[in-house]
Amino acid sequence: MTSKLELINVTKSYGKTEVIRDMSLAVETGEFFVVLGPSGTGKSTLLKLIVGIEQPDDGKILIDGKDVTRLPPNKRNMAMVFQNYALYPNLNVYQNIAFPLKMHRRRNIDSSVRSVASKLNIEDILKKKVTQISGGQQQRVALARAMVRSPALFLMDEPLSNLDARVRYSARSELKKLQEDLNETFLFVTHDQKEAEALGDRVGILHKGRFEQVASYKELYEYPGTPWIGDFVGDFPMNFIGNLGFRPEWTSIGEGDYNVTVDTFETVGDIFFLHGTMKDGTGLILKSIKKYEPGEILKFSVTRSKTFPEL
Amino acid sequence: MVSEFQGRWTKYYIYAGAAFFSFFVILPLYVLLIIALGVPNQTVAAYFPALLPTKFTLANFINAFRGTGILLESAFLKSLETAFIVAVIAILLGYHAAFGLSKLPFKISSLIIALLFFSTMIPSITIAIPISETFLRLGLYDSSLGLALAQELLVLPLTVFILSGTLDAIPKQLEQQARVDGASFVRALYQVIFPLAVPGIVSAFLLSWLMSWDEFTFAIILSPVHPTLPILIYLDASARGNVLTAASFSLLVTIPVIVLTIILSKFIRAGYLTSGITG
Repeated sequence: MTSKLELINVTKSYGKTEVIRDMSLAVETGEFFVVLGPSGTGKSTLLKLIVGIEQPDDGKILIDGKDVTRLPPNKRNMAMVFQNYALYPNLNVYQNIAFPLKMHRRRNIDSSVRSVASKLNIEDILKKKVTQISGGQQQRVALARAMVRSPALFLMDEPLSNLDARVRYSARSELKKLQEDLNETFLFVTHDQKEAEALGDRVGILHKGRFEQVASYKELYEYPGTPWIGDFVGDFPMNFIGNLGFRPEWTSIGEGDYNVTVDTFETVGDIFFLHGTMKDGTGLILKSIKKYEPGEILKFSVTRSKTFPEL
Repeated sequence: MVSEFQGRWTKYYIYAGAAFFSFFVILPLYVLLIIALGVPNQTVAAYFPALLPTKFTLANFINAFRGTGILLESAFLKSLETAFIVAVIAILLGYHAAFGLSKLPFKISSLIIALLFFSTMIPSITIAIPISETFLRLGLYDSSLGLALAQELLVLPLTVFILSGTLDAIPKQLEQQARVDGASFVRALYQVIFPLAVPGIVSAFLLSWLMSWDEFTFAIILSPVHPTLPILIYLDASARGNVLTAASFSLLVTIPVIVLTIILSKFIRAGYLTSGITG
């Protein structure tokens, strides 16, 4: 079976800066694929390449096994939700949702718009201007506009990051449910790990223009492929003693071969995270069930770890 | 807006400043008005003209029309036609030029716009004379189209400047979104970007219209046989020495200018375009 989206050795440079380096990827039909990476790693460029706003210098992009590398965006049958939603400010909500249908000269525009609007609970704002509605509603309108013509692929560029924290959580779970109901393929770009964890069937970690690892979030957390991923993924970076990497909770304080001097404490719920320093200056974060005094020297052991190849 | 100057008297200072500047604009208009509508022996024929004439008449207008009725009508139509052609060409060329410029890095596009304005620094008369020679050969001499093409030299840099400012204010994502939503390049250009640029386009259209409406140098050199309104007024005031007729005509020329300026002020409003586009 062919993959929904396939990138084969895609390369893109701006001037001398190589933004996407020899990237290959396959996203399967019905998958919620999250591209996770810090800012400035080429996430937006990747989306622009897939959707056709930018052309790769080298490599191929396939949709359902068909080469679309040289097709313009309007011939690619994809939908995109931008971070700022890019709603047409001169059109009302209804006209915004109807726009892709008009461009594709579809029939039954009215019934399509109304059915997608009812799915997203925005029937009562169809007549409103897009500047008059809330951020959460704007996000739904952008989503409705993407869904209305059943594209082959949904691309999303941090669509939740402009929402208030509270709306963001509900929008996140709704989005996940929507994707499962539709059984469509989503490619979702974010720098927010919580989103990647909550949404992604698989998460691709983008670093310096290529995927450093593609796996489920749990796998990325527990079996990071490189020290950089261990450092980047998780609320706290992975601890390193030499080439031995371990999470704060993979330790036991009291007995053991290592000594650490307590610096500060951080409380998360009813759990403590201890920030300490080893004799050689290595900084560590350990999970602890009780509080210790700063300056105290503790023994601890590593109960589980991941050994990375020597650098 | 001017938070650091919000004293108790601030608005009175602003009013005083506005009054001072309006004085320079309104006084000549007022003088024009009383000459055109006043009785000659209280205005132009008086040694010490009164600031407030007591008698008004339409005789100046009637005489002006009677003396030069056909000339006036043809000059009026010529001005109207030329200004309209100028504005249409300015928008057609300016919109596309500005769209192209908006795709370039800011450094390059601003350099190109600066170079465009460079052409307006050359005195019109040095350009008008060689142009008139060419126009004679092409059959464009003394025609509205020819004059309009020459006036584009003055108008286009400003039009491109206004429109590229307008297009820069439209988020690039809207065009990209339109392309992803299925619009071809051409449809995105005319059905998505153009409607969003309407305030800027209207401003540019009216400004080019106005610039052509009272343009003088090209008009007098390239179209002397069938003159435009400003040329007719000039000929009346200086060559024929008829100040009363010139004043009546000037008033007629000024009325559309005032009306358009009022319309224009509604469109030139900061933040009109981008408000609410970003989420």
